[in-house]
This record gives sequence, structure tokens and C-alpha cells, in this order.
Amino acid sequence: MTEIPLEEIQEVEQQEQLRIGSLLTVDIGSINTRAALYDTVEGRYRFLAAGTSPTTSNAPMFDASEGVSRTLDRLQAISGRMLKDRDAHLIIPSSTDGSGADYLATTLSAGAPLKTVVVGLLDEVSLKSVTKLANTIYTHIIETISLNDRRKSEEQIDTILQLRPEVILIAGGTDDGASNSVLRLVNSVSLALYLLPESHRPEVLFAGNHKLAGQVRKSIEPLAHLHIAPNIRPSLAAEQLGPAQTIFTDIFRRFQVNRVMGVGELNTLSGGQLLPTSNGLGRVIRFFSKIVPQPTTKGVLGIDVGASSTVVAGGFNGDLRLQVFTRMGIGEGLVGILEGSQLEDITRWLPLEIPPSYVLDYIQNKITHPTTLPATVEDMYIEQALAREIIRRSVQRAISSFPKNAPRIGPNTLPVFDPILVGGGVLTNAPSPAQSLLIILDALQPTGIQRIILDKNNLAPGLGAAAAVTPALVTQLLLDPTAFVNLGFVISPISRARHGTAVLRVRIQYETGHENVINVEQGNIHTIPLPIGQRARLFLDPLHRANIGFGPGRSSSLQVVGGPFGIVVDARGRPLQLPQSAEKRRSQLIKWLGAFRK
Amino acid sequence: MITPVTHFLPLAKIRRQRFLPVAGTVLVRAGQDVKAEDVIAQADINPEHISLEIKSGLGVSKGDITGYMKRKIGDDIPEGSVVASRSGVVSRVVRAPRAGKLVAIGGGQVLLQVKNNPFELKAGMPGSVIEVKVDFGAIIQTTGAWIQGIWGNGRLKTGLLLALAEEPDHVLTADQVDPGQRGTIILAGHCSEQNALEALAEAHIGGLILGSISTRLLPLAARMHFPIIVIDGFGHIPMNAAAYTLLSTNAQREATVNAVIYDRLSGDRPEIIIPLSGENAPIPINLEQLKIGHRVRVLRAPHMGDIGTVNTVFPGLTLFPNGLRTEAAEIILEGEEKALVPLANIEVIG
Repeated sequence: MTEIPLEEIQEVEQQEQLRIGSLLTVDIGSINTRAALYDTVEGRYRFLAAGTSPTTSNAPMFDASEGVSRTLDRLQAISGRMLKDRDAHLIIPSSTDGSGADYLATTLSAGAPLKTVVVGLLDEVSLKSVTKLANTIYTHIIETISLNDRRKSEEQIDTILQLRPEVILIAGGTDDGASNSVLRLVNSVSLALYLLPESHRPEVLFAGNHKLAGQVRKSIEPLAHLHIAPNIRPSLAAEQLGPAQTIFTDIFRRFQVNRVMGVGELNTLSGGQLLPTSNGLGRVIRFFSKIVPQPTTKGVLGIDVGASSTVVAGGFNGDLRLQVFTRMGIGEGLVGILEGSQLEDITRWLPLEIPPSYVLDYIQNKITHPTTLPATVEDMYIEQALAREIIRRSVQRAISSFPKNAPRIGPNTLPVFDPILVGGGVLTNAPSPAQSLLIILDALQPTGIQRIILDKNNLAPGLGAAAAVTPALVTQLLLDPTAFVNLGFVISPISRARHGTAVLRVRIQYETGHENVINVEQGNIHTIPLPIGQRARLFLDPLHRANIGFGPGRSSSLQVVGGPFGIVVDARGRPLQLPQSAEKRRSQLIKWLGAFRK
Repeated sequence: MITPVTHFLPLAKIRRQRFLPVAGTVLVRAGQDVKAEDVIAQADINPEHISLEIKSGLGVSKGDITGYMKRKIGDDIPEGSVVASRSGVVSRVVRAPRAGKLVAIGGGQVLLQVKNNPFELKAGMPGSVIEVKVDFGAIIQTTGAWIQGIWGNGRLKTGLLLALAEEPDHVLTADQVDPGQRGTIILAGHCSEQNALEALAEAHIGGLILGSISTRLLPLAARMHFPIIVIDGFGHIPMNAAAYTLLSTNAQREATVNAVIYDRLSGDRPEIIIPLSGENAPIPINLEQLKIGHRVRVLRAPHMGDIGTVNTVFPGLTLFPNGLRTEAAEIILEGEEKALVPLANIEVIG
């Protein structure tokens, strides 16, 4: 197999005319507001600088613009470029004196998630799809209603009245399918809308049997703002969320612009195209999944671990599967961990002996004070153990939304992804890149061969928001080492060999012509020396029918580029088995971390 | 760095907006004195409905039911009375199985609102109504000591403050509880025992103020019928000196414990208010630019819950022993010890 390096894709992209000169991105997160500045240098986009400040959309300021202003002040100080005029207004487009930026892209995850009721016909068909639709944006699903619902219609109505949702998503019926049942559900929604005070009526998005659109309009339009989208389940076999997702994004934008003070002006300066942060990341992943070498043999994965929520974006040859898990994050989102994880799922990742009660108290304190940082060794390890569990659970849930035919090396393993783009403070602020990489490898347990890229400046969502204007931004910047950190190539063979058995022979041929041969043993992490940025060719010979993605025992060769640890081989096996004994487990965790120090 | 302020104030002018989430009825007037548990407004938020199938009830297969209706929207309908009827060879009626108000007609059925548990909005603190917002509620003001917490179980009560804690590091146990504490607001340090909470419930105390609590007790604490407020955090943390001094010196005074659930988005926080007279009570400031000399509380280990004074704010990023690199300050703790703390881990108190 001949691997075409991703870098060579840039040759194609360089031919595209750069449509904008300079770009400013602003991302308003639940904890931090970040801004980044890009400009063209010698015909290519370059990342210049980034700045961060606490988000101010919550109490007591209730105005996001203050946090944005402070962030821009920091960016100005770092970059030396004026971004605000004398009246403190953002300079968009740039002035003739070089101040400001040509284009602004804004993304948002701050503010309360949309309180959403999802309505579908059958649990395993339309309700499942409409729930997936709801989970593509920052929502809190407060109620689900379906045909399988044993409640009477008046009980369903009363539930809607009590919960006062902000959005109701309705799906059901294939395009030539059920109608009466769907209309009964619509009727219940319509009665609830009628009984709600006008000021509290939610927006309604109907994405069911398109033949019912007229009757749905007649029933709901006099009462509430109704949106009609193409059926998300046009047939039992087909699911298409894209068009409904676009409309849902518009609903989100309108809500948050009205609700989060200080965001309106940014949206206007962004051409009315403020995006949920999740969608920005999703666009990057989808775009990348179309242009990677051999896009039908592997996907591209993006993960962002935030304070309130975690985003998982899988791109499969242009097909994006995006899921946002709003009660799953490293701050307030830890409520999801308290609700759904066992304490052992977290404590098993601690390389030190820490009382479980301390871990539990840590979680609750972090939920209460999500802006705080781990200042002790113990707290740092707990935070990283939590990150593993958050990523593991989020990806497990997201997998059900991935295509069933997504390429996999082994049963019950993660589909094959290359590259994997990861972001979020807990990963980017880890004391060492080794800790960041190990969190990813432990949580995801990827298989085959992939690059792991760390979005250390949280740039991906903004680039995704701007990519609609100029896609070259994504390809040129994703491989810019000043923008994103390439944690390196990771090779993860699958093997049933016993611990200690050699499962992979790696011959590395350096650019100097020098060669080295390494035998990798089952159960260990190995790093193969290759300086950062240097290229080499790897010849991989799986032993004892180990599989690195081409079939059991099948060899391959590829061009690689060195990362901070050279080339990493994770031969710990899949699924990862941790020793039962706490003492042995801690010792093993320390040993694995130590593998990156060689 | 701009930082929100957590309040432990011996005297402050405290003002609260108490508004219904939907339009309702306001029960107070401007100038009226209210107690914390007085209902100041109410609204229909949780109605209950039943639906009557008129078409099938009358045996009508087609057409509009309007012609059969004997009642109209808005009518109060006694139990058993006729809602719709059809005369003919075989006459049929549909009666109301329960008393209610007819609120909707459509799709061959009618909807009756049969029950109304009005949502009652309480004052939440003792004081005077200084302004009424028609249909929604009122603004209430008082002066007194004000202490903010970080966790509450959603209950509200006023009672005499009783300090069981003789020091901030006090640990609450079941044997400290006795029936003579009925109706009082107990000030304690830390609680990690289930039977201590159960003993308090049996003694019918009015409320509980803690410095800290074990996380595993939270589900039980949430179910308790008396308000519980936690001031500092989870795990065994002594109550911070500022709050302890303020509360213990106000023992035997009437205190209102409003244990609302902490909401970072809206700023709603559990709080304790001890009404005190004061002519020129200051209006609290909710935001401060962090600077040297500010009194702060540490929010995370090490030194979690400790109070100190900002001595230095370091420029740029500081490297911590665990590898964390972030903005930091040197704090002088109340025992004169110096501590290096991330800026993200301190909050101004005042």
C-alpha cells in the first residue's frame, strides 16, 4: 500500500484562490471565550495568534460582549494588530491600515441548552432519528412522546404545559406511510400550544411524512412558529438529517441571539451565520473526510470535551454524523458522569491511591465550580480519569449514529479513523502531550493506523464556520504545526497473542537511508524514534496474525512524519484490559505513561 | 481579571426580584411587609386536563361537533352535567365525569381543565415590597446579614439560628440533636453521617446550615423536608472563617434559609438572610477587578475553603508543581501562610 501523505493534498488546495485575506474567529464557550487571528502570508493562510478570557454571558454580567471584548484585547496585545476602533467596535472588514480582519466567524456553545420535546411515531424509527436530530445541537431533551407512549393524549398535553419547552421536534411516517397516527400526535401538540400562553409557545419543527405538511401547517401555524423540513426518515431504510439540521441550526441561532446578550452584534458581523460550536467542528470533520486519502476505507473523527458538553463528529466520505452530549463534560457536564457511570469506571484510571470518596467530592466540587483548575497532582489525575470516562461514554453513544458499514478492523472496536482531531481544555491544558495522547488512546482504543491531532488553541470550530467562505482555510491550517499539534502516528494492532509475544515487526527507513528494526510486544506501548517533522518510511509486518488494518497478518508500508514521541505503537490489545489488582493496575498505568518518556 | 463576588456580609441592603414564570395574580401591594414564606403571587402552571371524546360518545362519525355542544369554551362545568348531546331516535349525551372548565374544542373531542394546583411564589426573604410588577410579582427589599451558599435542596424556612458548631471544623453527629431544637436553624460544620440528617428530621428542625457535606449524602439531603444550605463545598472542609464568624455571632437571631438550587446561568444561589436594622446598609457589589489586598476564598485543593488576601498577581503563566501552567496569584492565608493559587481557583468575598 502506498500512503499519500495528507500534506500533499495541500498542493491541490494551493491552486484555489484565497478568497479572503484575514480572518478573525470568536468562540463563546460556557467557560471561556476564545478568539484567533489568521492572515495570508506568501499566498497561504497562517495562524497568527489566539487569546482567551472568561465568558461573561452568565451571572452576574449577563453580557457575552464583555468577555469578547477582553479576549480581543488579549489578542491585540499578543498579535500587535488593532482589532477594535476607538469606539471599541470590531473592525470588520479590515481597514486600509491593516487593522481589523476581512471576515469574522462566530461560534457559540454558551447559554442554556434548548429545552426540547421530541415527538416521533415508532421508538426505533422516527423517534430515534428525531432524537439524533435534537442531539446535533446543544439541547436538553426534557420529554419524548411517541405512539408507544402509554399516556393518554391529555397527559401528554399536560406534560408539555408543565415543562414549557422552547422547541418541539416532530417526526413520523415515511413519505408514503403512516398519517393518522402522526396527525394524532400533531393534534396533541397543537392543543398544548393552544393552551400555552402565547409568550411561552415553542418553535415547532416538523420533519415527518411530507404529505402531511399541509395539515400540519393548518393545525400548528396559527398557534406557533412552524418550520417544515424534508422527512428525516423518507423510508424505513433511509435517514437524512441534513436539511432538518440546517433549519434546526437557524432556530438555535435565533434563540441564542435573543437570549444571550451581546451575541447579536457578533452574529450580524458574521453575516448572520453564527454557528453552534458543534456544527463548526462538524464542518471541519465532514470536509476532511472527503479529502483524506482513501476516504471509503476510513473515517475522520473529531472530539471536543467541553465543560458542559462533549461533541463527537464522525465524517465518512462526506457523510457527517454529529452528536452533542449536553450533560457530559468536564465541568457542569459531570452530572452525566454522576448519573450514569460507576465510580470504578473513573478510579481504575488513577495511577495513585486516592480514596473513592475524595473522587466523588471532587466531581461535585467541579460541577459547582466548573471554571476551576486542578492544582494538585491528585486532582490532575482525577480530571484526566474523568476525561477518559467522558470520551468513552460519549463515543459509545455516538457509535450508534455512525453508518453500519463504517470500516472496522475487529468486532466491537471503534471504526477506523484517520486522522482523529481532539480538543477541549482538559486535553489541551494537560501538563504534557504524553498525558493528552494517553487519555485519547485509553478512552477511544483506536485500531489500525491513524494520526492524532490536538487542537491546542480550540481553532477547529471557527475554521469550520469560516470554511463555507474559503475551504482552503481548513486544509492549510489543520496541518499547520503552529495551529494544531500533531501528536503523531499511532499504530494499534489487534491481536490475540499472549502478553509479551511479539505481534509487530517495524522496519523504519529514515531519510538518511539508515534503518532500524523494532519488534513490538503485546501488552506494551512502544515509541519509535523519529524527530518531529522528519519523514520516514515504515514497513509493518504483523506477526501471529495480528491485524493493523489490512487483514490478519497482512503487511503494509507507509510514509510517516515524526511527532513529539516519534511513532507510537499501542500494542496493549483491544479491548484494553486493566489488572484487577489496584496496586498492579496503578503500576501498569505509570509504566504506560513512562513509555512516552523514552 | 474580573471576578464575581461571593457575599458574606454583616450588613447589606438586599433586594430581590420575585417574579412568576408566566402571568398570574399578584397578592401583595407596594409598601406591604412580608415574611419569607408568604405567598406573594400565584399562577396556573401545572393544570390537569381530561379529554372527552364527543364524536364517539355521541355516535357521530362525520362532521363538526359544534352543533352538538351544550357548552362553550370558558364555561365552568359541574360534575355530571351535560357537555354535548344528540337527539333523535336514540338520544345520546356526553357528561362531564369531573367538574372542570372547558378550555378547548377540536378534533372531535373537548378538553376540560379539571384541576389546578396553582404555583405559589413565596417571598423568599422577609422584607418590604418596594415595587409590584403587575401579573408577575414584586421586588422585595430588606437590610441584614447576607451569606451565600453553593448548594441548596430547594426548601425555605425561617427560624431562630442555633449554633451547634463551636468552631468552623465542627462535625455534626446524631447525638448532638435533641427535641429542644425543634423549629430552629442549626449551624453546623461538616456532615458525613446519614443518621445525623435523619435525627434532625425526627427532631423537626427548621433548617440546617453546613460548611461542607459528603457528596454521597446529597440524595438524602435533597429529600429532607427542611432546607439545607452548604456554604463551602463537598468533602470534609471546615466552614470558611468569614461565614462562620458572621453566622455564629448572629446566633439566637431569626434567620431565613432560602436553599434555592444554585444556577450559574441565572445567578440564583442558596442564601441566608438575618434581618438587621441599619440606616446606611451598603448595596453589595457583584463584580470586582481582582487586585492586591482583596479578600478571597480558595475554591479547590490545596487550601480549599481557606480565606486569604491577595498579595501578588503574577504576570503571564505560572508553572505549578503538577505541571499546570496558568495565571496565578500569591495569597496570604489567615494563618499567615503563603499559598500559590491559580486565579481560576479563587473568588473575591465581600
